[in-house]
Amino acid sequence: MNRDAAMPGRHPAMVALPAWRAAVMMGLVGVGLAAIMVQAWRLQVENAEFLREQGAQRYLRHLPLPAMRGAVLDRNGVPLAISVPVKAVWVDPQLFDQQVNRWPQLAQALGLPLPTLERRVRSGGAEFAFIARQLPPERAAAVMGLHIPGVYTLTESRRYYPLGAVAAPLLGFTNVDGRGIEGVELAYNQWLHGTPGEELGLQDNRGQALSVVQMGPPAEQGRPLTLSIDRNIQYFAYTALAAAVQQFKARSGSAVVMNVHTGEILALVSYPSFNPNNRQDYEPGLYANRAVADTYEPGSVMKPFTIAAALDDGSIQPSSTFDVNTNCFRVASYCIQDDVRHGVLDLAQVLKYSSNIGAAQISLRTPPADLYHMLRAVGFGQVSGVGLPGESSGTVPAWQGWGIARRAAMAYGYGISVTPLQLAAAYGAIANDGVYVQPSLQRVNEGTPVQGSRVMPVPVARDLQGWLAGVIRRGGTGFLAAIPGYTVAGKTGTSTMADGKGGFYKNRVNTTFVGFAPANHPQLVMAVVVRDPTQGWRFGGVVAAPVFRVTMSAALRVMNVAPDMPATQWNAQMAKRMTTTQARLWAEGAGDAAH
Amino acid sequence: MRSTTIALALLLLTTLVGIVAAREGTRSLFIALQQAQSERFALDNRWGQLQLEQATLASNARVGDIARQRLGLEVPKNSQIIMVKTP
Repeated sequence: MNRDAAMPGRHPAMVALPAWRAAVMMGLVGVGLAAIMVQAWRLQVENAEFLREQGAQRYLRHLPLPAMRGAVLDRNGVPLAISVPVKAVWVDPQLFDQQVNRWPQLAQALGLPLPTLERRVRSGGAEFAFIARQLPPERAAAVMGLHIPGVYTLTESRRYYPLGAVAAPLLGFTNVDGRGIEGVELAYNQWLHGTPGEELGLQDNRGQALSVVQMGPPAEQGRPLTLSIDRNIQYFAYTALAAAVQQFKARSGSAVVMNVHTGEILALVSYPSFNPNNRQDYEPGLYANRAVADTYEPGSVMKPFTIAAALDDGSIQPSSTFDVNTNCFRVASYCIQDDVRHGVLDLAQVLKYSSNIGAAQISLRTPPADLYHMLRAVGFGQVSGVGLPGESSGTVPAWQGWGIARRAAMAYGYGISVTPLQLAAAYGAIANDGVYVQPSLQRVNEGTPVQGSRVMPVPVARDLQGWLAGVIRRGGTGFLAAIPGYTVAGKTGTSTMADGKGGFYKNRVNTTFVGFAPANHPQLVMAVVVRDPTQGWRFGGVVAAPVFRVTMSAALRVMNVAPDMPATQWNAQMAKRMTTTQARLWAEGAGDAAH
Repeated sequence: MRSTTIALALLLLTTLVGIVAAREGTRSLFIALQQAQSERFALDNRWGQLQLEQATLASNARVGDIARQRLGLEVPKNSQIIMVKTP
């Protein structure tokens, strides 16, 4: 190896290059680096905010965690209202606008006209617009199968009411966002309503979640609500009431069945009703829960409270008698009449034949304050505390303003307005040996003591129970309420409707029956009101009493109450001394509750 | 000195592999979570539908119709009811 060969400048491959080329190369690299730095500056500093936002818009999503509304159950756990998950389709207009050519495709998949789709895209916010809601999951899956960027789904719930119209005015309904609007759904909305959670996540362009970036508040599921309602009793009450309203071509009807010891409401029905599963035939009038919202002048069903007040303060004795042998008992300028002229009646007979004259005489012997306080004590003139929206308090005018005519009229249920629920609760106090229990829609566990308030002495309540049982026997106005095998007590009412101009309609009435069974050991109380029947015999004992019989005989069976009337007694009682018409009506019996 | 460097390099490598493995684990767990959630949704859906179906099948109206029409049952009239004494 030649030593010289290693010397610089002497190597054959070594050619001296001009110095400017190196300078140019360095310059080019420098310019390139500068360009990269400028661009980096632009992207990372100048436009950083905008670009980050754009990026986040494409993949970062607030992912809602759906919360189901709690179910409403009857006392045995049968669902009365349940939520089923469904899907809503929504779009991000900023992304969706770039896909205008695919809009017809989406419109077709959803079965929407294109203009409707456009309107819905525009009607939402800048980043969110609902396109279709309450879709069955399969349909939503088909829409997502189109893979249109900017189209997403979220889970929501749809409410179903298996009982349909039977419990609709009681349960109410929810709006599309799952909030209670009416009835139990509104009253217990806080309890039933779930709170949706949220998390921040990465999502691909098909709406598929990739990962969770940040956990938000977790979803709180709604709690189930167990009501005191019994589905079967509710059904029997509704069908029997509907049959009566239809048969007598009445305007409306309502009924309440209540446990006399606990105040639990077992059925609360109102007719006409609506189908809560399909509310397109929207008619606000049908939504009213007449059992708590409608007040009316009840008529003769108030007589037991007149007697209770008079007995309680000693104005009359259980053995008192009343001479009603007149066609016209004159009070001030009014003429009080009975349907049939009677002679001298004791208290049992005043109730049995529903004598207005007898009741008026009792009331005129009683200080008005005592009657007033009795009426208030058993719950009239105030909301019951059951907590349903739209409940009326009814009116009991202050006693200081009662003239002699009003004192007489109050005795047989005029000049006062009440709701069917109040009637049931007030009769419940008689049936519960004089202790008033507040009606409630919440199930009471067996053995839990229920607080009540004593409103009349035990002997007074017991006497009334016996006298009211007489109303149902042969010859009483309420005999169509008799139930085979059971003792029944109750009272009929047929009140002339006020015309709203200070007078009364000649020919229009409201018919009522309130009763409890078994009369010897009362368990259940029921009030039935049928308003403005326009055909047939329009009396409480004919229109409303059969509704009581059909419902109560089923309810006693459902609640496992044993028959308490010996067979011989029952057969003998019903076989003798009935008029032909009575016999015919009686033979028709419970009838069929088909609806 | 040299062995320490090698050890640190190995440690670094292990950590890197660990990170990759953890990432992969997270991803597959997340996918499993997503699947479980959609399965839960489907099951919830099915459960709701079954409850509805049961309520519909057991509805008083349907049972009553079957009893009346198919089985020819009817509610006895009062005149047909005879009470008997228990022996």
